[in-house]
Amino acid sequence: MSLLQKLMAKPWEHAGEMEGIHGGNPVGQPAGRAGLYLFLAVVTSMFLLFTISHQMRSAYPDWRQVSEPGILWFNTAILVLASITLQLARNAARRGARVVSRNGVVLGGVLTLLFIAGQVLAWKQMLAAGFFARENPANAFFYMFTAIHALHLLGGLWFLLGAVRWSIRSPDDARLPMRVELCATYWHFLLLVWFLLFYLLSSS
Amino acid sequence: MAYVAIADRDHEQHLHDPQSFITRYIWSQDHKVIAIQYSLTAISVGLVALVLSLVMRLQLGFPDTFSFITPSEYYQAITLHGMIMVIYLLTALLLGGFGNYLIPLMCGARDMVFPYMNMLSYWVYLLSVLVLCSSFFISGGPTGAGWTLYPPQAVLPGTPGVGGGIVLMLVSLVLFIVAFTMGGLNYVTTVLQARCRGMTMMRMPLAVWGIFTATILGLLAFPALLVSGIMLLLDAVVGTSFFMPALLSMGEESKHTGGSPILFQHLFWFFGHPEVYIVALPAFGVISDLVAVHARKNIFGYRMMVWAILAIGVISFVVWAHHMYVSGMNPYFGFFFATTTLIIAIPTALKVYNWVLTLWRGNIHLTVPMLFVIGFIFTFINGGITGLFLGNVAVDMPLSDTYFVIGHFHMVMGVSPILVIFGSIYHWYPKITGRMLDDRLGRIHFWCTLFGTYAIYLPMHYLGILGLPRRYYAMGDTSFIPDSAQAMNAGISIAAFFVALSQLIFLYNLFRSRTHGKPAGGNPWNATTLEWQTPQTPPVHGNWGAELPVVYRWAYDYSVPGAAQDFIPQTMAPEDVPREAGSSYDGREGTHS
Repeated sequence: MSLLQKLMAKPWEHAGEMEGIHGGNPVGQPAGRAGLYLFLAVVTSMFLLFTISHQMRSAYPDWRQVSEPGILWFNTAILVLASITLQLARNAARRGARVVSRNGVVLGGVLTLLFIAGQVLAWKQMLAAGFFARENPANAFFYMFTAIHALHLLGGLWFLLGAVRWSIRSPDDARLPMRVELCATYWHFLLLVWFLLFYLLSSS
Repeated sequence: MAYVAIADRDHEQHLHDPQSFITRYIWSQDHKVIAIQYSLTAISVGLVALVLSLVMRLQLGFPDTFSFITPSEYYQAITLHGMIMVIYLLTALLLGGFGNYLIPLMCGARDMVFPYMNMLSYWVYLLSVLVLCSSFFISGGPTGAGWTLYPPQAVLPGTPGVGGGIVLMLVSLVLFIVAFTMGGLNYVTTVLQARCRGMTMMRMPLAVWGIFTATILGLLAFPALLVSGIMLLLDAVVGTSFFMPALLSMGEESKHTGGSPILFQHLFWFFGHPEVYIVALPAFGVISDLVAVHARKNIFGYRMMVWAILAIGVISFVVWAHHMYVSGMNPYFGFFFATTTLIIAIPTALKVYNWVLTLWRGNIHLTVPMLFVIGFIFTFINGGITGLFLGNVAVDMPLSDTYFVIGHFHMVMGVSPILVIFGSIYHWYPKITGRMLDDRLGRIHFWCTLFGTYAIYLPMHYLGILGLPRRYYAMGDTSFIPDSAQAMNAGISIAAFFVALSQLIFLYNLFRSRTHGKPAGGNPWNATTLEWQTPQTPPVHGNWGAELPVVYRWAYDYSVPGAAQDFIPQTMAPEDVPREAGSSYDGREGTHS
């Protein structure tokens, strides 16, 4: 039943009618997946507003373009690899290859840590080149965007770590593939966000 | 295939049975305990904000009388009063308190779908309150930037609390948003995923619709406050120039370059206006349920009420700049936002008509909750109509930043939701505690609150038309303000103290009835919705015993012709409905108006 049809229903009629009425879970999604999608909507809203702020602020005359450190390209490649690895772990979990899945999750986590370390290195290079946050709004956006993106990845790592611990403690748990799937989805999302941020930082 | 409710599937949700006093009452994952924790914290911090408003009224009513109220303290009081009332009391109480308590019970779920995250939500909220309150005890005190925290003055020397105060305020807001997000994800997912069998979306009570839509609004709007808060924090602490323009401060050139204060205003109000509806929509929903129960009549135009809630939710995202008419915006922008502001009045007015039409020829029981319902409808109409004035650019210009605005938003966003909150507490207290609140004390509390608040806020509209500016510590010798305005200010202050003191009656009632109130039974109001059909009152952990309830009908089967009782619970199957002798009613068709 479409959303419009649902909203057109006349609930005062047909009391007792139960056929086809299942109450909860109307879209057939597990609660964890629904919760994650909702969270991604919140994060999208936040990054969208950051993007708008960046675009509005960059129109002011005091804006000076940042020459972003070259290491960001390397970091981007690492994050792409992390995302691919987690996708492979998700596929492995689906077909029941638990050890492969766990190794994929661990590798994805390590690559993510490498990405974050690379971002810290980018910060150091920026600071060494004299691009301080207070000197120019473009610099400030660089530090803010990279920090907030990294914070989201760290939050994801917490759940990733939980998935690894879970897979060691109870490898046969039926909820495990779902957990890996949610992590992979979150990583893909943050990869897309990073593409957007990287584009903003390097284009304006 | 046999239906298994999602909340009953082992792999979806563990109930986390409490094992000790600590897991039962402190680190509790039970939505009802978390609701009470949220409510008590919100009410406590709300009392702090109430005292701050009295400090303001002392100064405004009797200037040059109380030497302990300095200009700095006055500004700190107005700032913290506003912020606490809007965010830490109303939002937290209506969503964290009512949302937590009502959603699982009204939807027929055992708990929220993510109980651990729900628990974290409360503790992060408490942390945000503690961080905010800690600013009272630091050198320089809390920020006095006004609740809108506009840069550049929010972070410039000369504004009270410019050191630690503004930083703690912003950190507290960030924490609050984190807490709200954790709670909000729970509320929405629970409504979508954990309703019991038979509880279709259109069989949900309007209270759930209101809380559900308001939470979605919050989840999408609070990021704007988060974004502006983080950027302002960096401007204040690191010295960036997101919002801070190049300027001279205290005769010296500031270190900032070319930031945009207007950008902050846009972000703030992109959150700020939906925030009005984040507070209002749960109140609208709750009031719809209360009016039906206590008028013994189905809600008029249920579908229209749902559509209106959704329409208000959508339109609330395109009206924000009506708070910024005086910021120098393009007149075409002003025209656009004035138009959307008038458009949002249509679904809002529709709801008011429907409440009144529900009362029309209803079997009105003038219970204490019903008194608060009627008080709310009156007050909301008053506050709403003055909103039409302020929504128009040409009328807003002279009235902007006057007491007319204060009168308007306190009527529509202060008194109205507070009346709903009181009405709701009188209504649901019997379910929460198993005992009734004292009726006589409730009536005294209602009349004192209603008359008292009107004595405060109606005169403010007049003062605003006179041109009395808001936020001023003292008016001084201002030729266009007559002496009578000062007399009126003194009267308002006396009324404010009267209202504040009358809340002691409520608090006394709340605590005394906990042990001395009349036993309520399971369903003292003869209501139809699920929370009144729990096997135990107060509901125990898991809410429903061995079996989840099954819902057969909508939430508003009151005074159905042919039925023996004037209410049919949602859990009653058509064949079980007691009928009047000789009636041909088959228990299926409800009444609808």
